[in-house]
Amino acid sequence: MLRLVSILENRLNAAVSTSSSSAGSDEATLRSCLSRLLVVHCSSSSQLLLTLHFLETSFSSRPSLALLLIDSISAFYWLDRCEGGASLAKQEEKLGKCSELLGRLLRDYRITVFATCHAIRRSYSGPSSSSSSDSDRPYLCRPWQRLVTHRLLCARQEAANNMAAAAGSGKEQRRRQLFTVHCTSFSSSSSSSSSSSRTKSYRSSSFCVTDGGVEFI
Amino acid sequence: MVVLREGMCPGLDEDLVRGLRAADIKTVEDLVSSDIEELAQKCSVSYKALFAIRRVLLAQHTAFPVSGADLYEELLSSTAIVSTGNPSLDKLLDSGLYTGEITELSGGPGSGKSQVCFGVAVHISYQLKQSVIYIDTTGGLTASRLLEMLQAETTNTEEQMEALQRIHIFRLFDVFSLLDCLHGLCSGGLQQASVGGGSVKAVIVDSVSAVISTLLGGKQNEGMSLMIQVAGVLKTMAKDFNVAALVTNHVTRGGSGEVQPGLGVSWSHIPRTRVLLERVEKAVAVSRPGLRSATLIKSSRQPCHIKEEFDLQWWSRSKGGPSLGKRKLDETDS
Amino acid sequence: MLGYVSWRDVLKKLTLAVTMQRPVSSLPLSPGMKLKLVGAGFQSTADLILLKPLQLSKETGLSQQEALEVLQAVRKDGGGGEGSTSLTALELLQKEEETRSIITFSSQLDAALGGGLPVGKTTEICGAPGVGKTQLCLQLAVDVQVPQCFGGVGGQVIYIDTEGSFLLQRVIDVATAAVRHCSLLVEDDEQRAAMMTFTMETILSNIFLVRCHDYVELLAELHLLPDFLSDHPRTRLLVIDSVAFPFRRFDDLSQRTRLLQGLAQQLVAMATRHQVAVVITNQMTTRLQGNQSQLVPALGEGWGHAPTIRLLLQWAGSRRLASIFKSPGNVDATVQYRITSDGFRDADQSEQPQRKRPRTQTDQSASSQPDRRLLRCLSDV
Repeated sequence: MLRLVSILENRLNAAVSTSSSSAGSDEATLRSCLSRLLVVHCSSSSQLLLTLHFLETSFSSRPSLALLLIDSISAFYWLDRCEGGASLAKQEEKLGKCSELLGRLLRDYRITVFATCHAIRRSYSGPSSSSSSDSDRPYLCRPWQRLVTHRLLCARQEAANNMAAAAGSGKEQRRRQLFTVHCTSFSSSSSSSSSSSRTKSYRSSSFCVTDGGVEFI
Repeated sequence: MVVLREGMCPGLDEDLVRGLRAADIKTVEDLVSSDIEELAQKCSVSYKALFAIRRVLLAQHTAFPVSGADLYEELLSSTAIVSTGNPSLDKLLDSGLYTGEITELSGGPGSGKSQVCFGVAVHISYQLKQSVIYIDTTGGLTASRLLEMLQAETTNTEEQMEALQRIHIFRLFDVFSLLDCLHGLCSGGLQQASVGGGSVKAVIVDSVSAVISTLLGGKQNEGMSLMIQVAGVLKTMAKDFNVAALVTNHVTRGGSGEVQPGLGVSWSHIPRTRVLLERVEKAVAVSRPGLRSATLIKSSRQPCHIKEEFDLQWWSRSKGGPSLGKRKLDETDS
Repeated sequence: MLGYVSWRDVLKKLTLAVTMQRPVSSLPLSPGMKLKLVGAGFQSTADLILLKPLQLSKETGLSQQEALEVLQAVRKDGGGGEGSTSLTALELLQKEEETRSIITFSSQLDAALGGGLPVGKTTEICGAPGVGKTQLCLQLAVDVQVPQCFGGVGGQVIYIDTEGSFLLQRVIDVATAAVRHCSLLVEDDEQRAAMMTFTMETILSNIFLVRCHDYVELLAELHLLPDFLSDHPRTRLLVIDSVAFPFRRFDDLSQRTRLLQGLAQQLVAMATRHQVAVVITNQMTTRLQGNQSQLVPALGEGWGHAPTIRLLLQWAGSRRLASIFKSPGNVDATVQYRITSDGFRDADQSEQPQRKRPRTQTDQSASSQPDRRLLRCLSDV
């Protein structure tokens, strides 16, 4: 939260310096920005489901609510797997219900949902599988995967290529860690009978983390 | 799934529960996601009554949203930064351990993780005059070492005893006792420990990998679930009671031979800040056996991979200053 | 709408109420039982606390016995709030000052260790074959029985032998030497009376020898040990010689690591709860790093975290050196020793190596050091 506020302050200051008119006291603008943010803390997937139900009333009463961020949707993955025992259906039940509810909220209230998902390493399938392909495979339940229209895969770029750049710069400049993001967008075709008719398109980009947040290069 | 039971909320009596079960509504989630009008007709209760029950149940079980401004205010007033006592380490951690977060120290055997934990505990109990909870799962904690570190800070026995009384020690060796202990701390243990001394500012678990790594691997899921539960309780405790959580972890060798912290990828998302400790292999290390190097491998505030060298013996230096302390160590005992 | 302050209080109270309940999955029960509990809808201990066993078994499908077990687990937690008791560091310090260490009869090694091998901790001794690990173990098995009025611990010992290297004749030699040594130190009546009980026969009778042939037997034996330790409260030393031997040829390395870590935690738990010094011997293995090969302790890096103190016995030309390379209470140090017919002893004074590393800063409290009379005479032996 403190990091969020520092990024916000950074951006507000940058905006104030570029615009000609002064926008009143900084504290007031910061506070008004923050009041548009609602933070909820869930401790289990059943609580997540009930909270989404609760938020439905908030969405209907406040039409300016446009974005739902979930950090992270995979937090209860292992807890659900253990509670579900041997049956896969029981393991995925709660997340499936959450996904269905989210689908309904998406359609009814025209919001955008942005969720983070932790990469996990599956049990070793064999000596031939390399570690890079392990983290790509989606592992959450099917209803969630059907809901996802854009999948962003973030990875840390190895520091080899920016060593040469850093050698020439002075000591004061911090070595920037570059991250790459691969975006896979699914656009589902109109026919719902065949599930394999989703077209995929790919894009790539890189960014680095600065005091003012994420900066794309 | 939370099952509907009579007495959960006013208006929910046995007949209604039976009626709902007949209509295939067994849990709170089912009730909340179903159509109230239809249900009211099926169970022959009034729509208003059922709607009121739904609202009360929802209020009982959901998490409440808090406005960002309020949350920020509360965090400003309650978050504190707890110094570790060692300036180089503080610089690496962006001035110290933050309350409300989990910080992880990983390193191979003999890299000094337990020593750093001792140093932090002594610093908090003596310099900051606050209480510390130390959960030891490896058997590596000796109170005489803590006393030695305190004796380097002060020669007054009264103060030493007082500082020792502010460190509360739990010795447990398996994951269920750890969960017992953490849940117990959340439900009153921390308040008990704060009586007499200052409030508890840090909870140190040394080490968390010793109890969890036996459960991982193989085909069972229970190990991962218990690991995530431990993480959940630690985070809740850190947030709700404003303590800084410090855990230690072992290291394993990755695919290409490089050293990485243990407990796998799933654990790596849990601590907010991660530091890797190593022994220093240079020639100068022979004269300073306490030299260690710390690398920051995950942080939300600093750029990663910055390295700092620090001396483990900083916490047992005598008051004359670091150079004096070093000379004292070189003298042989009579 | 509720005002700002009261809303926050309500929020805090609700969060606290939620955190005070424990989820069912954190109870120490078998996964099958937990599955049935969750399937019947019991999410947290608050749901279970008011139920009777019959009711519980009807609703969940557990047997009566299992239902009883569940309710016991719930009530044990709910009763005290804290499963385990805590001590302050001051109380722990007082406890530590009362426990003595086991001397090794090599005064330099004892000084480097801060008085000897600590009771209540695990110590690992690694070294190449023939360097003296078993000799040191046999010496410790005799030393632990030295009566308290001579500065010893006066306890019994369990010796788990996995390699078959326990030699009775050697123990007899070491025991005879120890008895002879102590009888030279007798000064008053109390010690004379103690010498009656410290004879070669009693020494041998206080050593409980167990022979394990593979890792399964070893694990089974360790599983039964806590009961044995409760029945024999005078036991102060557990020796496992060696722990590496049964785990040498293991196909599944990750399973080996898991078993070893579980074993390590069991040993630490026994050492702390029953106040026993645990001594484990380990072998050396070669590790290849690029083009260089290095001798390192066997059983992998994960094992290195388990023992509290690690000693390395090695050769340097014709001299034998003992180095401490992991110890939370002392700085790393190296001393020289030798093996004589009487057992493990200091090297001769003339052969002392130049000390490159600083000595330990030993705490000067009197009770942490062994009886000074005993130490001073040892250098003459």
